[in-house]
Amino acid sequence: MALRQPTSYSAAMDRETEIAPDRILPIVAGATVLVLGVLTAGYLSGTSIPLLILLASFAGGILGWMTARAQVHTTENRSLVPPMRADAVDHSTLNLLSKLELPGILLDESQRVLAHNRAARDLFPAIADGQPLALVSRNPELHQAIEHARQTGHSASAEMTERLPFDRRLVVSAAPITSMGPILLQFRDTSEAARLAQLRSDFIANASHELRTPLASIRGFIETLQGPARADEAARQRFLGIMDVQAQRMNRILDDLLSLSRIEMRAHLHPETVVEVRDIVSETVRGLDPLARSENATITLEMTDQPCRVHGERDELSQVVQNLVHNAIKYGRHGGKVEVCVRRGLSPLTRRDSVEIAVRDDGPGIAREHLPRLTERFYRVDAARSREKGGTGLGLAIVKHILNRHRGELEIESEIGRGSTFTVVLAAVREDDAA
Amino acid sequence: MTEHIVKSYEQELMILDTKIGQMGGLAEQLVAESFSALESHNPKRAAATVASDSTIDRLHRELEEQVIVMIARRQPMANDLRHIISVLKVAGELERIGDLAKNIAKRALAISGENHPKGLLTGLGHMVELAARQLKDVLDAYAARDAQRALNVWHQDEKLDAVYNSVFRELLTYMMEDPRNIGLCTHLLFVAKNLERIGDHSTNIAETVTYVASGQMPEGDRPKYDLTSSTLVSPET
Repeated sequence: MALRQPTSYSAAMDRETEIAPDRILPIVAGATVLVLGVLTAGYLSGTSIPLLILLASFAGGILGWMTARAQVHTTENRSLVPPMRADAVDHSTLNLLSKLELPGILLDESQRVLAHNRAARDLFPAIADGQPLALVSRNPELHQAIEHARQTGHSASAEMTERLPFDRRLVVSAAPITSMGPILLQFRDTSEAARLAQLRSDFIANASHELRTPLASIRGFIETLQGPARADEAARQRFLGIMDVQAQRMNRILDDLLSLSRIEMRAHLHPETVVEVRDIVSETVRGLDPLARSENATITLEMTDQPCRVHGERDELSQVVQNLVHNAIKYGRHGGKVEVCVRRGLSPLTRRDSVEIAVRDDGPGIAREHLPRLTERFYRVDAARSREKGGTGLGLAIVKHILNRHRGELEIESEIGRGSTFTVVLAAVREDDAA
Repeated sequence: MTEHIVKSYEQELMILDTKIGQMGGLAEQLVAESFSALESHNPKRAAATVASDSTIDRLHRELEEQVIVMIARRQPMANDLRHIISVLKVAGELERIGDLAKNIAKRALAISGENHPKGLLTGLGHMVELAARQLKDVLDAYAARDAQRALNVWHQDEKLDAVYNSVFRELLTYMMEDPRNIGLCTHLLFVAKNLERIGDHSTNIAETVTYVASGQMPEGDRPKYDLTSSTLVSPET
């Protein structure tokens, strides 16, 4: 349903809605008929009664037509919106606004957008002239700043925090141009600094928590080797082996945390390049052959003949496939089968033309209550087993974040005893679209 | 704002929609802030959130008054009447969402001194993400009068219910492992329940958007996957 556009109307129509027009007209028409009847009654005899009846019905017809038309008129009124004053934005103001580098929006007294520039459209993609600001942004801090500016007549600024669709922090300044007149909004994007600070504190919190355990374990062994097991050669060999495994695990956790931070920093940047998914999948799967062989697992690859092009980043999509196949090998049956499938078609999940990458294993499967939680950081279905397999708990969180950036979806299906299927769904780039 | 002596019908409708937008923005902010206060063990932030719920309540009262006056004076018909009634319904849902978020902030105050194990909050954090996304989507759908977008929100609620089921079990298990956790976990259980209710109110708003756009409620029962009323976790012997 399109938003109503302002059109011109006369001020008289505004008054009309206060006095119902369909009450005045019948009275006037009725009075006219009465007068006519009285006048003619004096001149005509009884044989003119049919003529009088004809006159009356004719008058009634006109009455009905006028009333109906008046009602249509009133309903038409409803779709009209008071226009913005033509003199409110002159050409030089518009020109100035369009030359501003910072996002700028000009508001009128009733909080509607008078004008905006390109940068403002980048910030608020749904913005259009004539719309109420409340439709463009619901942010309370923004509206408070505008209210403050109106009441005091001076510039007011505020910090706007938004979390969806991705974290964003803006500093807005609301400046009245003239008293009781339009207000100019300018925005400065300070998200980068805020994002960096948030990620740093997240990283420190996660790292210190997850690294504590393997580190404690290593320190324990070091103490033992310095003390009681000093001369025990067999124990020394064994303990050093375990310490190495723990150190490698810490390394992997750090790598994954850094990966995740890097991806989150760029979460708001949608990839622009177009890539062919089948190439990425086949290359990645080939790279995992050695791991598959060491775990005695078989990877089969099935790909459609249709082109599978998506907006994406090669390295990140490769990481997604790698993490999913790696999980399938790790948590599948020993000697089991991993099926990787690339499909093109209408996805039942997104109801759009999509490219799907499905990774299926025939392992023990995952219980239903765990399925919605799997992409949470450090969520373990079975903590002991995960640690034994060298899992960091971040594999699926990384997949989820990469897919968020790619505006894709991850579907997880699993049945105890039957295995699991992880399906990546990405919007396909049509062949006729310019790359 | 300058008061016009005679406001056109359109201007009055615009004021209603703007107030809904304001209430919506505040509700969104409250949901996010209340959970941030919980996560960061920040009692000051929690107290501030509790206080801001009163603005939503005030807007709700103002909206109710305005709607009643409009119905009395304008005697709207058909589409206009549906629109105005829907404003009342949506305002009611948003006011409830504000109250639920305030309750989360109160519980954040209650447990701010205690140490939460990190794992428990990731599940709740996941729920907040889903609930916040649903609320944003449904308010955008309302502003654009987009019934399709509203229908998507209606379907999304099952994801939130699924995470809620899982978090519920997780909390029960945690409490059984160590009775010292019971105090903390009970508060977190209520927080989880509040988030699930916020999702339900969003789907109610979605039903209202569909009703305004098409004159009909969405077909069939809303997908409900909340199994917690029949969930029992027994201690491992």
